[in-house]
Amino acid sequence: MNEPTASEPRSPSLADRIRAGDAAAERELVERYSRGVKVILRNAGANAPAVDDLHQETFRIALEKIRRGDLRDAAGLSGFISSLARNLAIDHFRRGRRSATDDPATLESVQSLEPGALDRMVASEQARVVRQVLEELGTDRDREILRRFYLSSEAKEKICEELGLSSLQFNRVLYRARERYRELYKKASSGRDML
Amino acid sequence: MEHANFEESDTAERYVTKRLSAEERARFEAHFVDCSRCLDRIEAAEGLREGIARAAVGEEPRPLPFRMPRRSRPAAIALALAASLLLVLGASVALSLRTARRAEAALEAERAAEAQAKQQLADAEQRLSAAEAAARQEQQARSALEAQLAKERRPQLAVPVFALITTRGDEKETLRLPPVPQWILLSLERESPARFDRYQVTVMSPDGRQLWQGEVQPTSREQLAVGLHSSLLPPSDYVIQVDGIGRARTPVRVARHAVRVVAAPQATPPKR
Repeated sequence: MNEPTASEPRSPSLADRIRAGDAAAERELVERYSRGVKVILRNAGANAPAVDDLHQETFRIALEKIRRGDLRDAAGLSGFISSLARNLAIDHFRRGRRSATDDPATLESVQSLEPGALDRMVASEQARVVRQVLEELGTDRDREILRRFYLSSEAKEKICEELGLSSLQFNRVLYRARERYRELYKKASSGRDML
Repeated sequence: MEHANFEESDTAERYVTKRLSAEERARFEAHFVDCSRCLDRIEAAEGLREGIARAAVGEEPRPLPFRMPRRSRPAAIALALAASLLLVLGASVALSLRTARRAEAALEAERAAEAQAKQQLADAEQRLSAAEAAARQEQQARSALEAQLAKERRPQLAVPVFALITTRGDEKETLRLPPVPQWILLSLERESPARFDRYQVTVMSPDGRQLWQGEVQPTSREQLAVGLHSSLLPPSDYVIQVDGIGRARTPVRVARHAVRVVAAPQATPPKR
């Protein structure tokens, strides 16, 4: 089944249904955009507790505005959600707001073995998977490409020029690493979920 | 179409490593927020990046709760050794890069501080030169004033005296002042009988503009002597008014002299 691209208005009537008070439409909105909103918030620099807080805030405000009819163009729903998330993150850092999740007292109260252990487990899996990916790459050059691109944030053009690579060779290394990482991480995650 | 462009230009990786402009980022976010393929790619890039960063700083994972797949001992040892080597290599590369960047930043800061110090020194030198020049000018002005003062203090052996007599009518008295500026004495007639202990003498232009005013005490029963510098009276017409100062300090007109000042001709040297 071909997945429709985001540029096509998938559910132009989603906003209309939310305005009409359809609770299912509201749940659909959250399910559809939740993952993307979290990516935006992480990219803006929010840590895990802030991501959860701002994620909730994003959808609270989005639903409020959609119900009120503030979204004029239903086809602009994705842009509306993404810019709302980004602006909330910017505002959060600008104000240095102490949300409930930043309050040390609250943090202490929610710290329990279960969330901490899960975070550690996820981080461990991630590191183990990446080490395996790096080993499987086979050459120092390929490992260097990944380190320089992801760790040192060097530009692709610079890395290609200095290592004498074509754009295609570079893309191939990234593609192999990425796909192998996803495969291994998926296996490790499903193993975790079975516990 | 837009999705294909994003895929081809590694936009997901550039997004994760924060190499997109604000505009590109906004466009990409508006796209991927509803695109599971882009989200997959972004999350894989995020995972790789975080994992490589952890590996570079030598973070060791804690023992995992699920079983590792079985491997033979020698292979496991070799794998562990390779992993350790990779960690050490990665950590040293990251450390070197970090050290090099810090050294570069410190060098830049040193250069900037040196440039600033040089500029401050140049500014200070400029201010010093300006102060020295001002001090020299002040010294020159002081010397000129001292010379002038010394000249003025020299005893005047021949002071021209001009006697002004009270006349009736508008008849003007002519004063031929010496060509070289110098002190002169105006001898003014007092009223008869003399009634005042103090007098106010005012020099005015013919249109009534005051040029000079002073209080004088009489030196004799009939005369008032007023010393003026001749530069105060360049050739022109003047009115010299004499007022007696009464007890209530109200001036009482005593005399009014219309004078015409002319320059006396320069003395010509005798012919041989």
